[in-house]
Amino acid sequence: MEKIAERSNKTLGCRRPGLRNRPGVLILYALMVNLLLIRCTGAGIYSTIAISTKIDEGKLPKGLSASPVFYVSGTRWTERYFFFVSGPNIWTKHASGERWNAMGLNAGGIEWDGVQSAVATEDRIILALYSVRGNTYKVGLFALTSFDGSRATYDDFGKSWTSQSKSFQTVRLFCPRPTGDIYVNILNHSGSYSSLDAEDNSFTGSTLYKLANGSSSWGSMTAASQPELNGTNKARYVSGIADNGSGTVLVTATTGELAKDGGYLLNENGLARGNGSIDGSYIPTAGITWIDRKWEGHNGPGVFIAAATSLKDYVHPVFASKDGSTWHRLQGATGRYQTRNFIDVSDKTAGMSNSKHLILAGTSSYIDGSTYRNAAGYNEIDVTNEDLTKWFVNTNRNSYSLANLVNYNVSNLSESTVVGMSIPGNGSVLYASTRNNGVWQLNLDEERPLWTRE
Amino acid sequence: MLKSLLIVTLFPLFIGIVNAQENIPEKNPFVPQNTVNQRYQGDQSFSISAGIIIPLFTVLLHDIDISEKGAGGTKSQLTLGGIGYLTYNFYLFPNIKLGLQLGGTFKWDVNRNLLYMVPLVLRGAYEFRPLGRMTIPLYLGLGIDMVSWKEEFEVDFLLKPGFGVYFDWNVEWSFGVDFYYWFVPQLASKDKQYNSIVNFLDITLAAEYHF
Repeated sequence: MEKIAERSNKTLGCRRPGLRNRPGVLILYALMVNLLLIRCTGAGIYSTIAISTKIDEGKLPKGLSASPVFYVSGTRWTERYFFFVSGPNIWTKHASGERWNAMGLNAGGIEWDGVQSAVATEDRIILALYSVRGNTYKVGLFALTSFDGSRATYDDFGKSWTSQSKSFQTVRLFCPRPTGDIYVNILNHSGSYSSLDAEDNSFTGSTLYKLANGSSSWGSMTAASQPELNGTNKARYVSGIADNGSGTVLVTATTGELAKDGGYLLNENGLARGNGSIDGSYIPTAGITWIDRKWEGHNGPGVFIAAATSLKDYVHPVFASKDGSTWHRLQGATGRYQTRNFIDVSDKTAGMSNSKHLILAGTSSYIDGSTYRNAAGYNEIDVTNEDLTKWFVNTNRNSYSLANLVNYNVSNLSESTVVGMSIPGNGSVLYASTRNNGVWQLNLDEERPLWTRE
Repeated sequence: MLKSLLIVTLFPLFIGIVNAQENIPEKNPFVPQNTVNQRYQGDQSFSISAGIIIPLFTVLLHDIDISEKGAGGTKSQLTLGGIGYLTYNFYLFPNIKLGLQLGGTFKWDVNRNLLYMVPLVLRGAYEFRPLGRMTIPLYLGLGIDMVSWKEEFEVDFLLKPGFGVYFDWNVEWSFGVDFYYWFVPQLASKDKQYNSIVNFLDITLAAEYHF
């Protein structure tokens, strides 16, 4: 009892009536609450979770980044396979199977370290493979021409680029139409090889080559001199190529995706198309695509569509053009993330829900100064109206009409960077390949289908 | 709406602290302490606790047009989670203490997405002391709950009634268990059909130091 009394007396002697600066505490607390409220996204978290549906976690490894899914056909392909590229592997699965398997990159007698770029023609997958051995970095061009379920056959284009002490090359491939030409953009960099990033300061310019669709040997430059690419006017690399199948090929090039005015519109030879602007602007663009707009009872006309990768009026605008010359800026879009690619689902059952005809715009995260901006899966664009000025980039995923909304909203796809989307063989399956969140698929023959993870 | 609600509810509590504390008369510093758990006006305590949080159910306030689930109670679709608190208390009277409690919890949804909650609560407690070494506090907490899930972030009003059972080891240290019910109306959704009320129960083991 004595101890208790002693402790009590000691502490009582030190007692203070409480916080001294009470109005200050109150103001700070109110300020903090208000600041927190400003950040609220207002999605209704608990109700969204309560109505969630369980999404299968899939069989691919977690955290996988993937290229678009390719599908090739032709006489050399006795069985049908799907392919995608991820880091040091090509992943493949039988068209009727479920399980993806990784295969190595042994081509031309070399075990390559990874795929720098890949595109699919009608019957081949064209690959730019790279390897790093000590201080030597090398890129080689190959075509995957057949696969028997375990072993792949590669044709060698007989073309490779090996780093020098003060220069090296990187390669970007484009094949805007499976039956059309293959375009190869060779990027030149000064200094020693250290990065595959075209945005780095050592980029000195590029050249554009064209290969015939079935070619198995190296092609030629599309023009003897390409001043808008090679650094004569500006050093640019190709950010996208679109082909309408009727003789118009558009090439977009940029000095860097975040540059304010480094974009330029070129023709298939890598030369300026008109004054090189899109809608009077030299804003850099990516993902230029030709959309046919052909569905039952409707036969086009199609449009070119491309997305700006830098901000204009705090938004990454999306542009569309029927002829490649007169461009219109679409309504909507956002500056919260970038748009990087498009796919036409306007003639598919899922793409025609709610009396719409949709194309999808894949989004990408980006770094705005020092701020990391998250991606948001895909946006929807209704392309039914003939008047392009009426088109609207719908960024409100609660009003999307392609897939089951609950399923999409709770999926990781809805907040992923979509690297590319594809409909292999123009069939009924839409694949969305993401950065770090694997590959997703959707059955386009259903109304409001579910996204499932591969 | 939510801003007004929070300010209206929390403001009087702070005014209450101010007024209550301003009126504390100086006590005689030589009052003897007769039992281990006897407290005095002006005593303070700090507690740390950890335990589990059990999602009870969610009440959807409207039909949601993209879901087959209609308005009414439904499963929260959240897993059992972990929770921890740090609490500072100040005795306004020998049996009444007022405290500020900061917590942190985590749990998962059906798709293994993590949900984080950070409750910040102004908590009043009335303490019964049926035995010399046993204290039974009744709590009423009022505050905000910051919740983060995927890319979403919201701040909700939080009402937390509860009770505890403590064994007073000595005059400084008490150990016990607390039970809280959480009432969280989420009423500030951009689309009103997503407004809901969610309910949790948490059970924590606590260690409290009195000074």
